[in-house]
Amino acid sequence: MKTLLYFAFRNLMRQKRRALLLGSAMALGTCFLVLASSFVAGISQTLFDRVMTYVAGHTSVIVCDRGFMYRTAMRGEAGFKERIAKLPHVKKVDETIGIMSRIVGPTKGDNGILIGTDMDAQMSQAELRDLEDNFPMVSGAFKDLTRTDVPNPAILSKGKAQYLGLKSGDGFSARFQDSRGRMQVGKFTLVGIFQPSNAFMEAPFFVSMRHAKQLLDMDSTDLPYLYLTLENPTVNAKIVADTIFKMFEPGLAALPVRLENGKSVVTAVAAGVKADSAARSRMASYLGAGIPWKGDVVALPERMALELGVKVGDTVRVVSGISRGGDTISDRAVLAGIWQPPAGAEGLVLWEEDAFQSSRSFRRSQSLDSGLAQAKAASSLLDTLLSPNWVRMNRALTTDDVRDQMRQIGARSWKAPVVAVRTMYETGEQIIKLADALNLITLVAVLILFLVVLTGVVNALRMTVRERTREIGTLRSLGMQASQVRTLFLMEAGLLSFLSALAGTALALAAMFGLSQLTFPIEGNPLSMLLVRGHLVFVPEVLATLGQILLVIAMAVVAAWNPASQAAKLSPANALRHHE
Amino acid sequence: MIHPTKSLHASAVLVLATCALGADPDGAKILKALEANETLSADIHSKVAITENRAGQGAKSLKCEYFRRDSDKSFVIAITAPESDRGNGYLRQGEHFWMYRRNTRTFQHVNRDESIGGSDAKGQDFESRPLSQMYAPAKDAQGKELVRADTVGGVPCWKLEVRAIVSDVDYPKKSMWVRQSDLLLAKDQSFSSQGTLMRTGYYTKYQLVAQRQVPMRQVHVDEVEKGNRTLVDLSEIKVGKLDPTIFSKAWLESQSK
Repeated sequence: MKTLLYFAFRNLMRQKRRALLLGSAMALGTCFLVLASSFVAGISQTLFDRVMTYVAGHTSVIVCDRGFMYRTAMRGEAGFKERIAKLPHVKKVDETIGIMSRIVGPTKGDNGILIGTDMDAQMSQAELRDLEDNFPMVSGAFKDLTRTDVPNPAILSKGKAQYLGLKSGDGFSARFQDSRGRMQVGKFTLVGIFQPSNAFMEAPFFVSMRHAKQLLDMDSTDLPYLYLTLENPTVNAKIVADTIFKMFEPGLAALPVRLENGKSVVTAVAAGVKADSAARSRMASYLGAGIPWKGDVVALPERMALELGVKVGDTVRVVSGISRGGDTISDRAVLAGIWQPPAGAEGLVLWEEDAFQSSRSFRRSQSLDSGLAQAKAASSLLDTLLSPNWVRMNRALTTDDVRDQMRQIGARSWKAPVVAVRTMYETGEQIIKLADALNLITLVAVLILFLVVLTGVVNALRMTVRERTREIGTLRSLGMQASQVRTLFLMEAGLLSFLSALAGTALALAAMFGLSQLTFPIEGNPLSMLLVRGHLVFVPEVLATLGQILLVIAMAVVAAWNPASQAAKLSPANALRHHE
Repeated sequence: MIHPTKSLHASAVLVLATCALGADPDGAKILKALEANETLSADIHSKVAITENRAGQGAKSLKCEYFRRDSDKSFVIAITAPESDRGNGYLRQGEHFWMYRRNTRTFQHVNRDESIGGSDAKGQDFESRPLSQMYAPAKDAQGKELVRADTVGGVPCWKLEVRAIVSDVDYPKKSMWVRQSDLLLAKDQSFSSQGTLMRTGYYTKYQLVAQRQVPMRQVHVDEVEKGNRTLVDLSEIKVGKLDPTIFSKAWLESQSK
């Protein structure tokens, strides 16, 4: 074998010019293959790790308050963020706030999206660099969002700032709807301007997450949207989403309340009861001929009604806690009927679901026992009539499903908070398709290129066999076996392709370095989303490159098989008689 | 832009003229009087013209026909002008609220907090809620209601300050100027929770419709984006039972043909 390898190498050296030409073609092919593959890997990395994490997260948790799509908070459930962060494969969990707003400058207004950026979180240098890669700053820096010497520091895109007539240090206003649905106006100070990498990035208007929460009337107990960054997202996104989906198994909801009728006061626990037509009918059977179960109504156990001195049709004051603003949350509900609670639910007030859930949403979060045990005891009788703590949407499987789900979430039938868990495969299907398409295009282009190159290889080997027919005859006469002749030619092809592939890989690495030094304009460039700070991104992967070198060798050897076999089949006598 | 329904609902403010107040104005009674006029017992049909002025962008006009039936919380808005919007419309049937687009011939469900036609009106605004369930008179440190005499355009009014008693209203604070003579709303101002003035509305040319006073002209001034204002004119108001088929998708779709 060693001798054959020596012969193969010697033969290549004997025909330097041909070997060089053929090798150059194979090297260029390999160079293109490695370059294209690294470019696609770079695009995929940019799409998955930069674009996708900002646009939708590898996996995301979507929440909204009672069918109000833009009230993106689930009250009192912030603990989920910590639990999700501890799941396997989860690298990072980002709270996400993005609210449509109207930005008002000195003379003009324009629409924008108020984005909360968590500058208080421990952001690594790499994360900060990623952020600034996505939003390269023209003036100021993202850390300026933490400034305390100006009111509500904010960062706008260059185009937006120019349109609104704003420069760094200027003040402006923005009108938006807070997480309660109230119209608000915030005063901001422009502390930074970024150059958007594409048209989509024009709209964001950044403030610190802390300020965003204050402006939107959210606090640390609220759970906003969560975007997750995962290890190996293509594999883990659905696994993690399934796990989170199970974590959000809905349960029952209960609320401590105080009922008042004049000077009579009773402390109780309230549970929400649905009020759709089927529920109304069932409640009518439980309550007898009372007030229809519709609007702001309650049903009390008989003992409680007696203590309060109220009868069916009377109005009671329901105090359900203290609002975040410090006001007492109270409501006037009509006593629709008297209900017979099962054991364990003797202190349970049934409250129409809408009024119940809205009080639950507005009250300040408390860690006290909310009396869930009583609601659970009542479920033996009321089961599906009881209002849940939240509604979990089914997992969407496609982008169309997500679209339908958004419609469903926005429909008015939801009375409880709504939660949905998604992966990038549903929310960023287009981006994934783009990466797949690029991979396919590259593969097809490379295969065509190699077909051309390998035709050359076959041709060159055929000529070599013809030229060296008498030499083959001599070798066969000296005792070389037919299989050894074939191996010799295959080794020549293999050796040539190996050396060419190495040279091609080195050339590709040099080309990547050179190309990544070029700076492309970002403004008005439709492909700028794929650039990082105006530079192309290449991600050469060791295993992929080794695989590509092996592919090139394998293709060359396969192409050489037929000419090598022909050489091996020559009889020594005929070969020796051969004349050009 | 202020939506016609919003105009009728939220500010069709009026009052039983017989609801006489004593020498000391009572904020709760003023609110009740305003609320008493909110629900129409009869069906109503009106033409509505909305002119929206945007700073630096000139005026944009929209005309529509408005059909309302309070007995089952239904209404239909059929846009008649400009030509580019003609045939589009909105339909509410009880709990459901759709937007119809002529070009695609599709009905799309409108979300509760979705902007209607790019205006500041939202789906939720069409869910009528009694005024007294949303607001109560604001009180000073001594517990006295913030009601005092004032004038609007020389007309004596009661200026009543109210605050939201629920959290999910557009504006947590409002000031209302109610004419002393007939307890009709003359002007209101809406504030954010931080106390920033966001919108001012003026209500004029009241007309008696089905025993309710309806402001035939309203002007809404955007106090945040200076120079923006919306003018709402109602005309040809007719009262009486409307053909039930009007409150259907088929009818709204037929208007685009």
